[in-house]
Amino acid sequence: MLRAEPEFAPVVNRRRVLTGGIALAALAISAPACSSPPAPSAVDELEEQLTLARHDSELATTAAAGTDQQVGRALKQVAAERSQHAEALTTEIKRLAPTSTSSTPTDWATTPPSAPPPPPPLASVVTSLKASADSARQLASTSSGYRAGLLGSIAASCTASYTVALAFGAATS
Amino acid sequence: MTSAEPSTANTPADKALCAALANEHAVVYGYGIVSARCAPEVNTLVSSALNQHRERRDQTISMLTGRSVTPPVAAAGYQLPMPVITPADAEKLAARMEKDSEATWRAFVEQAQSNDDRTFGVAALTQSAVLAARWKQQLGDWPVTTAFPGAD
Repeated sequence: MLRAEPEFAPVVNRRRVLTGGIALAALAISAPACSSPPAPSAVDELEEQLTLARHDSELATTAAAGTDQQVGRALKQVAAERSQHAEALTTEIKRLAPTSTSSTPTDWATTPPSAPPPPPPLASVVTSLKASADSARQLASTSSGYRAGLLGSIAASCTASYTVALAFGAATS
Repeated sequence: MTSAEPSTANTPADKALCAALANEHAVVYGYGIVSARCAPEVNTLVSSALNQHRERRDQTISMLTGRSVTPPVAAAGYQLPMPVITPADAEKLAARMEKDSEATWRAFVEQAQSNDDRTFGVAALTQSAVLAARWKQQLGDWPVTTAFPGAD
């Protein structure tokens, strides 16, 4: 933030906010020893987000193959960011349900594409990202704490990708 | 609202909202500098960004007033993080202010206690992520997006 002059002290202290979040997370981890496990719905909702992130990442990767260098670079960036979302969501799912048998990234990453279909068009990636942004935004509003922030960032990231990074010609109309 | 005496923010959500408002004040000021220094080709982007932040600032003031929390006022002036002389400097300042905004709004989303507040915070976070991407694109930076706006 721009610093106020002369003596308008900024109240922003994200580190402190984060520390509070970490302390709460530690409590949440130690709590299950004497309480019921977290509601499965929270895990299910995150699993759904994880599926969307992996799907977008794969879609963007395959779409990149059928485009020119400039569009391809943007699509690969989208694929990388959606992979990062998938990783963060996997971490959060494991924290919520350590015993969850949820599939790990290797389960899907190693699946060989048997008969590769033609690369999807850029517009299909845009459409998919829009839906993912809406879904993350909705879940963010009913979640809380770190999870709400994570989902909010995912919604913001997807929106910036389809409105700016992938805005080539009429693809985002 | 008139019966309750305005007070300082006590809850983490109110504190985060005050922090976000203090940042919005700074950003509105900063966009004045950006507007003065930027190239004519980005006038539309500057106006759009400034309007979004003004609106966000006013909405945030209303939210705080509605909670009987005294909204922080704008400072008389702000120190720029770097000299802003050229159009490129102006674009860098704009990109940086959007990144700062992302962080304050994500912090609010994490502290917020109601669905409405989180919806508001996510919308603000998203707007800043989009504007940050537009400024980076204008600057010719790559990549223009990040995976975790507000936290990276």
